[in-house]
Amino acid sequence: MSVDLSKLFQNIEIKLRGRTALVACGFATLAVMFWLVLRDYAAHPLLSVTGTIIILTAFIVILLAATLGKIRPDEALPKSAMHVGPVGIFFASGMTSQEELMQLVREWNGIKELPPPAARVDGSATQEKDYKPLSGTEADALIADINQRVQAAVVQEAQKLLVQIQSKQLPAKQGQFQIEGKAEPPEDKPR
Amino acid sequence: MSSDLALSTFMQYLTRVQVPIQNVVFKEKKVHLDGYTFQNCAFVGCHLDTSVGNFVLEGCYIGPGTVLHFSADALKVVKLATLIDWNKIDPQLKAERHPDTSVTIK
Repeated sequence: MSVDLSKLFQNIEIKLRGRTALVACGFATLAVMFWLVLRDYAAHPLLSVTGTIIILTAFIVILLAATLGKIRPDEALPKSAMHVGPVGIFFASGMTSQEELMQLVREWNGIKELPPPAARVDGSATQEKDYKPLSGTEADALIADINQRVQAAVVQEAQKLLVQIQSKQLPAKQGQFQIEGKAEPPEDKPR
Repeated sequence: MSSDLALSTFMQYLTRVQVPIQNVVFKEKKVHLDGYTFQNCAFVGCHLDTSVGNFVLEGCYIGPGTVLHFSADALKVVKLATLIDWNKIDPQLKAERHPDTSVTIK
């Protein structure tokens, strides 16, 4: 089996930006310092030992800050759904919870919260005399009920989607739902 | 394969959600229609907005001062519709206007 290096390099993507870039710079600086400390160990053993301790501490601090720090908005995992070729493999990446699937359902349907209504119709919507004004509390209660129904519908839809995804799931990286679709048999293949 | 097609392939698992809203009056509010089926509702002086066209109006009253706002895919449909000769249009393509001045769009 031969490896086409040009194709391999085309598929390698290095993302060095934001926090990752900062951490990489920090580690590079520490590596240089560590090399200097080791190089002069014979001349200044005490200084080198102290330097090594400081460098190790800095290494651990940077590592902890990078892994435990809050995710900034620009670092959030991009959400995407992709379909790959005729084999029918596609995946939704970056979706790690039902909460995110619910967000997807909301966006797909264009659902936004309704404002509080001014009145209830007791008869025909075309007749103003049939409008029964709502108090602030009544309007809020009505909207709360509507929001609850919307949430229930969205949850139901997200669960349906999750079942579909899980029933066709392949081994995938964390944070990815990888799905295998049904591949259609080629029609013109001789039997 | 384009990402749009990829997305639509994934979205085949999703059906449209339309929550029914009945007998309410919105006055001077911004109402996003998408995701709801409005039945016997009234919109007076409202700003009605749609971006995906995922809504139904059944016997609703669109009162004076109401403004329609289209965005995203819905806007493209509206722009395309401006090419139509409305004098020769199939009535089924128009909003259904009832004798009591209410409107149905589905």
